[in-house]
Amino acid sequence: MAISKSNFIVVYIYGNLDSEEFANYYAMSHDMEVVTFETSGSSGTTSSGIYWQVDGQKVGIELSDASEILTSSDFLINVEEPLLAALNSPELVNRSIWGVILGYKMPGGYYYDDDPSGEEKDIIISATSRLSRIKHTFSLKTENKLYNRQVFSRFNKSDAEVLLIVSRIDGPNLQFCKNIVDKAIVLEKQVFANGTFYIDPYSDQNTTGAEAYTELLVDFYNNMLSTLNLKNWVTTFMDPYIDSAIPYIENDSFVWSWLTDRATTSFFQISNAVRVFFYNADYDGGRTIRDENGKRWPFLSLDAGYVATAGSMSNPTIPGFLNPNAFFYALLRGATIGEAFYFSVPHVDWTVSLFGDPLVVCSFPGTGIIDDDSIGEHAVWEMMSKDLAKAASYLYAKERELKEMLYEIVDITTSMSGDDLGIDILDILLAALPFEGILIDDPTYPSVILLHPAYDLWANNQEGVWEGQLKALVNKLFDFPTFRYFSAEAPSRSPTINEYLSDNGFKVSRLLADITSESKPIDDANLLDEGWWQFEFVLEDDDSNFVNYHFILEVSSEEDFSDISITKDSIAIDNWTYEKEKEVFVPMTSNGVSSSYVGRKIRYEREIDALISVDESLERGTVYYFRVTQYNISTLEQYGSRIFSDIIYT
Amino acid sequence: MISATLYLTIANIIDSAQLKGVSIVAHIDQMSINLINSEIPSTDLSEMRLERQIIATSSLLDKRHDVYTPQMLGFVFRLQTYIDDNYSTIDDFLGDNNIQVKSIFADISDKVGFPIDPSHIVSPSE
Repeated sequence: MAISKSNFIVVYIYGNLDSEEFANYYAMSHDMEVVTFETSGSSGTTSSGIYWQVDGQKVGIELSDASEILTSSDFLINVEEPLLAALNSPELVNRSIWGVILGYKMPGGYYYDDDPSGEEKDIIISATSRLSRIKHTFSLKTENKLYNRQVFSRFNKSDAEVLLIVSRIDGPNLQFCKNIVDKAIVLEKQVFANGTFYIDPYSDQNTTGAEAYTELLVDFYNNMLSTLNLKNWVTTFMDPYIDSAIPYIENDSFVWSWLTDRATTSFFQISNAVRVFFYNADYDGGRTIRDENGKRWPFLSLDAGYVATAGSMSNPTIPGFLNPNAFFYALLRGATIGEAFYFSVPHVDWTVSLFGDPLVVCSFPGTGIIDDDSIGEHAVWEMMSKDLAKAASYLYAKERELKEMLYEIVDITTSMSGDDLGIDILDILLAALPFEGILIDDPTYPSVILLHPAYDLWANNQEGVWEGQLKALVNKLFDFPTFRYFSAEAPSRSPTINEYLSDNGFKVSRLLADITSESKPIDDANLLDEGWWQFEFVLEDDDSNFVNYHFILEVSSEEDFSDISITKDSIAIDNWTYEKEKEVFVPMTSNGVSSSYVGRKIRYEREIDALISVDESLERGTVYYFRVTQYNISTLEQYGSRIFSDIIYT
Repeated sequence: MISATLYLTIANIIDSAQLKGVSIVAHIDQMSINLINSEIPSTDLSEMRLERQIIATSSLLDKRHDVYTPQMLGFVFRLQTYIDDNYSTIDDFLGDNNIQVKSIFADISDKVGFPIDPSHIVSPSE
């Protein structure tokens, strides 16, 4: 079940009428459950004497200090402890709370150091980031396990064990906060974003980290932005020492920029479009949103009518900036703004804060919610060719077994073996149908009973027969690209099977090539060597934390792995690939594959190198067992093994 | 008389060969599943032709490899008849020689009129 409003609570300051009014306003606007405390009933006082109570989906906390930034001990006492107590109350446990909205006047963060200097270098932990991990012990700048999830799924129960979706709606006054909610409701009714997407990928920073973030933004601009079907405006790269900036925005729905860290309200021109999400990656934009004369982006963008924004309470470092690819990848798949934020923020227990309404869902003109489950049409051709080759390989193996049985029977049928004569005794027998002339003439001898039926059984499964059973399908599969891609728009118009294989970098099993019509021979360059194999498995989530995985692969012809013929560790990286994007495999690096790729595929391809006398080819038609063990690169901890079996189909 | 070792070898080959029929058809059916789950529209003419051929091939292979063919039944019938004629019962032969056959072979044997006592059949967990 995906996250919904029923999984959220809104937190207010108990005893502060404005704060409670906002909580009521938010809850009513989203049709959340609001009950009077008398009919609901969970409340308590922490060991530090802070009172809290639960009213439906509202939680009131009687803070002794409601400053925007607290000391770490005051934050613990006034916010963390009472909120955790409320979350553990029977009423909220039964509700399955996966998200928290920190309402008007709730603290926005705390100084990490006990004795802050009051200067920019102070680390300020954002309240949303810390409270997202409220179920876990604080760990500064923890890598976010949900970051950049490659196989998308909506935020769910197991994700809520990792972190909660926490957002903050605050501002200089109560009306400011109510306006944010009103804008969210407008977007909810309008559904589609319809304004311009402004993007600024360039900065005046020349560090490696800055170049990497520019590359990320340029990659987003080149590859993903167009899929949103929005008009866009991009800054121009001028000089590595000049920070390109967006001069002003109008009719805008999204802004993604970085560095230039102060602005005025004149930046935001009139917009008839709904303003959805604004992000400027800088070092202190989120430090305050209560200053009505503020010049920082989160305050200005919310003031201008944006539904949500993000910003840093203090320097998050460049690798801590949000990832636009991950953010919009999630939005395109139906995620809320809150989910998209937590799928795109690299660290938690850190400085970056989400502001605004996390429940908002935004669609894009002309795009439906993307279905990641469907198989790409070229990938499916390759998968089908492998399936067909595996069927052929089982037929090949079946014939081989029945022939072996026939040999066994021949051996008891004659007084001599083929080895003695240096000839194939079966060939002689089969050439001398119906056998009797050369068999021992003894009615109790098994040959009299068994040779004919064994021969019939084999004959009905011999190569020519099973190839004939597959021939029509092989031809149809090989003809498929020619008939499927006949239009002028196709990359290669009505390609032959060889052109199609070359264009896509595919190769096919010789078992299939031997079946296809003689008029359509497969080029040798498009054939897999006999004994070639590739093992593929899906990356599993074996650790509750964000980790980088490597893999140990063992191959055996024995189900119990009593005789292991091949052992490979992916730390060596050669011949290992992983699915970086859907159906796109790239070579593995020494960093392995991170938790973000859970659900993606990992491959190992047999190694063959005559120079060093390595040949990992396996026997055609034989089933092998593959045991794979994931391990943590940092700790070398090995997780549980998985065992697979597969037939060699080449 | 056929040796117990050879009998078991033949029985295991028959079991293994028949079991392959399941995998053969499963892989052809997997082609169809993948095609249906692909981005290729089900209304595409070339997709429909390929899908029809997959179904036809699956049906053919099912009849020739997944179900017990007359040749398979005939061979097992002859083998068991031979044992029955020359040794007493199948169960006696298996028991006296401490042989356990696999379940698919046992099922084929049953189909041709030679049921095998469960004590002489390898349990699924083994």
